[in-house]
Amino acid sequence: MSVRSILRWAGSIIGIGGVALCITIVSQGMRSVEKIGGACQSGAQSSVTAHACPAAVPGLLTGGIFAGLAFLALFVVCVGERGRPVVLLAWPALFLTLGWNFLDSGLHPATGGTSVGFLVCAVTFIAMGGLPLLYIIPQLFQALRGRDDSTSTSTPRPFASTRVQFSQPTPWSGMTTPPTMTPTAWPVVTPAPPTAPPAASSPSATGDVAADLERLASLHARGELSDTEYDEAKRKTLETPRST
Amino acid sequence: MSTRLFLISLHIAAILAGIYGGFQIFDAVTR
Repeated sequence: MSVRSILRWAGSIIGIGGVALCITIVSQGMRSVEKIGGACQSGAQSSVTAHACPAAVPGLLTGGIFAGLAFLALFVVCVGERGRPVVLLAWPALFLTLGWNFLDSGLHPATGGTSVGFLVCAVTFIAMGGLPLLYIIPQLFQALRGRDDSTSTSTPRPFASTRVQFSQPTPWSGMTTPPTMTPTAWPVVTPAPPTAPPAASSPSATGDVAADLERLASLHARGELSDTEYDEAKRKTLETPRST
Repeated sequence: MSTRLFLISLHIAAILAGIYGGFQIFDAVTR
């Protein structure tokens, strides 16, 4: 493993851990605000809300959001092509977390009873975070199964390297053996046997004696017919009555 | 395959560590 890949893995691990850290901080900051009614204001301006923000919470919320985006960018840059679908999980992670906070605050608000406003927000956020999972989860399973080239090349594809080679186009007429096959790699493909090749002694129905004699002579010249076979085939070719 | 599982485990551990660290940092800052 090269130094570059190690750095990339370290960056993706730090990035995804940082995203989780920032979402947790934002979630905790949100819960602390919900405990005091769901709104707060800091500073010396005249307040429209009755509650001052908890200490350091505005800074944590703002910083958590921007730091989370920075960590997410680090993860995007460092993660490999196959890890890209994990980036999409940041959206459901954020919105489902905040939706859970809204649900908890809606069912158990600080003022007692239930808070319809928080429950509406809970349904909205849970839908925004949950519905994209229908698309993201299949993507993650595909990434985990592995679609990279390293795995696909390790498995031999059937017939990928199969080459069936005939020595050369050979007329069937006058042959006593099937054509030569040279399978060069697994799997061996066996050709279907020729359907009733005409025998050497049965010339073609066209009655072209000269053509049959030329084919026999060619086979004999190439050594595919012995002298005896050639003489016999030639004799039968000449003796067979032709239809005109 | 084992390398892939190891790296995935590291990422899951990083997520859990991030969540734990988030709680710790928030508590430490807002205390």
